[in-house]
Amino acid sequence: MNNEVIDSRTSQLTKLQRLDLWANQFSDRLNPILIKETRQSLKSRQFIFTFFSLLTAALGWTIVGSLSRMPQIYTTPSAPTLLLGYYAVLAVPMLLVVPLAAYRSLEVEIDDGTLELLSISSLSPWQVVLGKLASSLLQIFLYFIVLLPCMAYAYTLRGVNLTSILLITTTLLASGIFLTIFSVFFASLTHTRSGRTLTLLGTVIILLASVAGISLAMSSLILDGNLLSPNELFFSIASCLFIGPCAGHLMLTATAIRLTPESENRSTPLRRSVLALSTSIIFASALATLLLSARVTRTTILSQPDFLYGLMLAGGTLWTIAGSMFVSESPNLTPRVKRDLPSSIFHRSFSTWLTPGPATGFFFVCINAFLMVAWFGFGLKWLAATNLSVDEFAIVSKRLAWAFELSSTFAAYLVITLIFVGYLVRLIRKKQNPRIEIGIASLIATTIMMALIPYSIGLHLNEFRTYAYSNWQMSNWIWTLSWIYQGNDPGSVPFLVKLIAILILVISLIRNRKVTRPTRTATPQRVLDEKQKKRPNHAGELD
Amino acid sequence: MSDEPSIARRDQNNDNNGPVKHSTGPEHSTGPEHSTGPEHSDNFDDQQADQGNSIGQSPPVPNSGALSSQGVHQSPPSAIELKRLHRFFGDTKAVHDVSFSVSRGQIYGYIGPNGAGKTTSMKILATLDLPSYGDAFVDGFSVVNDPEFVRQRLGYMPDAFGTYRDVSCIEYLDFFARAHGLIGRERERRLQRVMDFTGTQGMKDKPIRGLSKGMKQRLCLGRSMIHDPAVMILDEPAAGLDPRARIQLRQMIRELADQGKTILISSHILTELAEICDSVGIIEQGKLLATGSVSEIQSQRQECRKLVVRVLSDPEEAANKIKRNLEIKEVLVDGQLLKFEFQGDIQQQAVLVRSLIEQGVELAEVRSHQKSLEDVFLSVTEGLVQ
Repeated sequence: MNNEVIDSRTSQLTKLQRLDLWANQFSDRLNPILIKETRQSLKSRQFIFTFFSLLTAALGWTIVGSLSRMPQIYTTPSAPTLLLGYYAVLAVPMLLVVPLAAYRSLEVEIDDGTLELLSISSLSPWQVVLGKLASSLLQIFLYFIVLLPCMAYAYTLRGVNLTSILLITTTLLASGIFLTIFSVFFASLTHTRSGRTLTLLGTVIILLASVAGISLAMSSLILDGNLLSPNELFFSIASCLFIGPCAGHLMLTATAIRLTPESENRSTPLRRSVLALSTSIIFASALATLLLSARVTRTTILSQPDFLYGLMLAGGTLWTIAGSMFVSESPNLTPRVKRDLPSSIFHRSFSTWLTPGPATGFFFVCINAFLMVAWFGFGLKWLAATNLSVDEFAIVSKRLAWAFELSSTFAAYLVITLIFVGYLVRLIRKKQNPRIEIGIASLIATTIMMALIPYSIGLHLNEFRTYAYSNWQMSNWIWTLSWIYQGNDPGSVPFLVKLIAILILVISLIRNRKVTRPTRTATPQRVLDEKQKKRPNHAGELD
Repeated sequence: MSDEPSIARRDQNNDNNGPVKHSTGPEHSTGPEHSTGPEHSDNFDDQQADQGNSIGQSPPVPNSGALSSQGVHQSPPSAIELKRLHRFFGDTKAVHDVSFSVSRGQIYGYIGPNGAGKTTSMKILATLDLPSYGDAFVDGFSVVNDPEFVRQRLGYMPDAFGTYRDVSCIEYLDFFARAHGLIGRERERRLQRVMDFTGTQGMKDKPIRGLSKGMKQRLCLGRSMIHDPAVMILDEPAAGLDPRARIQLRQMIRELADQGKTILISSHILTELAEICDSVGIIEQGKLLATGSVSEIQSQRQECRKLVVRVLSDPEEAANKIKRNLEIKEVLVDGQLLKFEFQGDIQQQAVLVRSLIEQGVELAEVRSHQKSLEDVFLSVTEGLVQ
């Protein structure tokens, strides 16, 4: 009966009303933040000003650029000149205005207390963050679509191939999205006024630097064309596709975690995200080894595996920063977290290292650092051996052995440093309840002291004159690593450092054996019942 | 009840229907010492152990108000319950061992000077902050362990408006309705109901920026009740409102309570709280100094009452008779009026009046001045600020 009434009522509606009804129903499935932000944006002065400025600039440059190329525009390729202008017109809103607007949007939510109101609604922190991102993406796409005809016009003027135009537009879009994620992440870092001044300053500086860097690369692409070989181009795109989304996911996870209450498990999602990024680095290095060992580039690039330096540096930085935060977590698990601890042997075997706590965090970092080092030491060697001749492999093998030495020593230093950081944070926790970011501060303090103390002693003993590297500089990780990097022989220092790291690891494993047997607590029946129930609000009518 | 855990027993004493309880008794000094260091969350294990031990010592409790091992009431007796709540910010004890409960459908007034810990405890109840020690429950769900279930049942109106720029009233309410998971017709119905209730129907398309403070307050009340919560926490809702707006707000709050909603409200305007609250709690420097119904607190705090007597005969002579009868040292004579403080209940007051008449004093009028909530507040608190 009801359906008949609804059908007859629906049939009486005009097409416009039906569209409105459909749009209303569709909006129920969208993120509420996206709807709110879009409503706000469309009314905001910032959007109106940016949009009309973009239109005016695009139109202006089309006229001015075309006239300035007259009369050669009919005979000589003129696309680069016009495309350069269009790039500038599009880059400002996409790489600067939208990320800053996203930053400001989250900042205002924190300032006005509306973020508190959102956090007690049914929206999860992830929904809040994704809603902000989605509304920014909408603006980015809007600006992009507006300028699309202009780019098509530039293409008709010849001088830039379709691949370059695709590369430019994809890079702009990807960079815009990434910088927006970055800005939202920075906005969530602090809630204090002084802290926000710093984060705003940092965001602006990083955005400007990024815009400058991207613009340089893009203008080179427009004016000189694509200088990369097909393999290099494929590697660049593929590694960006691997690493970019994982890095973006990590920043979004970190932002969502900043908005998540302390009683929740905030560590596991972060660990998963770090693990994904680490895996993407490993994939990228594997891909690079396979692609760059092709005959065309073998002699030029593979003998100098610069890509490895970059990836090793990225992996090392990632695990150092993440590790310092993981070992700084509170050792006390909330009852809420204890309910979700792994219970079966299988579950425990794989998930224990993902559960919150400094001990699990330490082993999580150690295991992954070990895996990464093993990959750089043996995995890449094996991959290279499958594609290279014996002579070529001998050259490559030498470089990879060097990379292994450097990365394994770094990992050993990381293990030792994290133990110190853990103890330092434990001391602080006796008086305070610091955020896990205290781990980064402790890490900086520890690493500086580890390097500075032996160096200063050495300087004092040598009457403040320069002196040679010796075993006494064992804790001076900067000197030791740079010594290895320069190809010098550091003596027995790497061996000793690795031995100490292994000993520390074994002792910690024995001391923290209880961590592998976490006591999961039962979830109350009423909570289980409540979870089973469908929320009545969600079962609202859609008719 | 004697089989209940120790925490529950303590709370029985603090029940708002019971006598006024000062929460500075010796038993309060045992728990928090565990957690003097870290600000919060480091004592979860202690808490759980505390609760677990208590449960372990007692036989199965059929009482519906008993706690499970996870701190969730099987069937909650109160809509709001604070159990030994502590919140420390460094050395500052913003909330110090606060326990009280609010029954369903009641309005509980939370009174205290600025910086007393009202907003902090309200924020903990609203799941916006975590306690350093203790726990709070909404409809039996812990704000620490099950905040998502608390949020479903809770409407929170902070002391700040929390509004957006470039958004109209209807868009604002619509957004929060969506944020609370309301969809389709249900959302439209709730929006309509809320706008009708708060009287914001006529300004639905107006931008929030141009609204008066009173209208913004109505809108925020509408926002906090958009998902039809069973419990509402209102932090200083009447602050800065003109008398008419205050009266209207008071009526709305009373109406919400009549609809069965439990309301925790803080305010500086004590006369208003006295009128609408079923019970109140007075907090200062993070400590709950008194809790109970307004009349209970008034009678408990009524150490002596002020009597004003109008006599038609010689006032000096009447004053001397009063002094002789009651051994009162001072009786203020103001024309025909005699003012003095009388220690005794209403029965003893009747005896005094009869005695004076029998002694030939011509009494025209006897007035007994009852202590207002403001007087009680002033006598309970010392005006200390942290």
